[in-house]
Amino acid sequence: MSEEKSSVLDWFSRRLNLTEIFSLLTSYGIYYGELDSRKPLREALAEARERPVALYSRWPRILSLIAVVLIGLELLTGGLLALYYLPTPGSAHPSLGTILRDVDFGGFVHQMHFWGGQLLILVLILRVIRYFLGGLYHPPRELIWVFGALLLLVAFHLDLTGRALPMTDQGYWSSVRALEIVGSVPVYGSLIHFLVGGGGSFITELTLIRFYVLHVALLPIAAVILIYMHFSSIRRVGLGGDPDQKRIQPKGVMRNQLLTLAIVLTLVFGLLVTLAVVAPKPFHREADPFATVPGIGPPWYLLAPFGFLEWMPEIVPQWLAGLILFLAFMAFLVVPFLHRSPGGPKKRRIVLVIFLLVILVWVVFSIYGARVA
Amino acid sequence: MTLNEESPKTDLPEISPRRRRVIKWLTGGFLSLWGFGFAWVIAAFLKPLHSQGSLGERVIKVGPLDSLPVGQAQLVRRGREPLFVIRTDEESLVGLDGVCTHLHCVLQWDGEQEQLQCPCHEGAFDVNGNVLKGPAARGLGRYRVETRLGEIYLHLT
Repeated sequence: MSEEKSSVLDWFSRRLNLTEIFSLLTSYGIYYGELDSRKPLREALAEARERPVALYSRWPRILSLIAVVLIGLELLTGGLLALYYLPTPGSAHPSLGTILRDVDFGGFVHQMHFWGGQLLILVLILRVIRYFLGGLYHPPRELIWVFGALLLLVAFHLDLTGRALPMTDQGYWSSVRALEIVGSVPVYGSLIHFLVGGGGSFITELTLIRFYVLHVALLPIAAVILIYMHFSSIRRVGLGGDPDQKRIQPKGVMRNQLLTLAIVLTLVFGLLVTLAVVAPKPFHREADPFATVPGIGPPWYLLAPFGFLEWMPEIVPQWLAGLILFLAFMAFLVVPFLHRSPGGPKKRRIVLVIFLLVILVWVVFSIYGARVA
Repeated sequence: MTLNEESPKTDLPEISPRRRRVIKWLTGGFLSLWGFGFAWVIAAFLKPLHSQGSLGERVIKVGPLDSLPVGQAQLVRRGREPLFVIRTDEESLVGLDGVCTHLHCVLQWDGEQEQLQCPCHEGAFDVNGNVLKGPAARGLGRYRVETRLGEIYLHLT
């Protein structure tokens, strides 16, 4: 049995660089040690087994692994939904109706896709918070932060483009609100409006097909690349900052990671099924571009910028408010370059206060935005 | 850097080979059940939708009787499925499958010879769906045709 297996492995390893492929796959959170891709797989593995590596498969280090699981789930369910969905204004809503009503497990797959996306955003936010509190952005770990922040941005855009696709009235008007907020940012906003068409006040068939291409092709590719880059960076620099980090024999690491992966998969799947059953996203009526539904705000993660824009007094021009939002976001992205050295306990306390202030401001503006909308 | 020998065997009780086999079998069974359920959900989702065969779809309104002269046939589309309604004489109409039973080529009506001809392998069927010539082994399926108030209706049951 094992002899046969190994001969198959040898057959392939004479024709493919298995080590490279293996390394590519395990980069998604399974194994963090470095593999010498010039050597045959078994030799490279045997060599890697001798080198001690850090054990990452424990809370809170598994957040990225959960993100990988969720991205995989989104790719799977999204691919299934794409087999029935038709991205034109006339048939988008009826085609989702077909999925929910006629296709076996259609509603289940749709709910899993929706809740998987929400959970992914939550996990990515938790990840960024953990990186901040753990100081995982000091040299040489700047890129871990930047990739994490960019991945969160990509996830926001995935959700934003995704919620417009069914052309339900809630999704439609929520997307219009979101486009208005994005449009207030000076250069970036006009670029986005230029790219997706429509001009922010309504969603045309061009907007829909562009949202669709972004949602099913460009943004998922970006997400997969970013999470790969994240793990690639971790392989090089490690998740230092943790004082309890243990370096152990890598022999058990792979099994440990696989076990963690199985547990994470089961828990995430269970949570998603529970959410899909207990709190299914309702299938709203088809959107009518000539009848605004009152009381619909932007998506929840855009409530704070929305609240900020609404809170700004009339005298401040919109582009200035948008610029402030943009600068705030850029500051978030380049945190590792603003705050380079960890500093002493006093500096840490200041950083913690700033963190709490940012969270507080975010929450207050979110509540304000929700009340205005 | 501390090398930490985390050997589970030292702090866990010894597992007998028999017990290990049972655990392995249970794990395998559990994972297989998961895989089976997963595959089943995906396969059920992928299964193409067939027309549900509601009453409206089982009876097709072909058109007014006057527009179909004697000795002519009309192609009826039921989704992707072609069907023929042939007016053989003043009174009688015949409903036939429009697809050759050989290789699923769509048939064409030849008004002069009063035949349904296959463009692929020169097969031909008469107005009752019987094979006249060609490679087809089976005749065409027949359907009931009805006229009401001057309109032709094709019954697919």
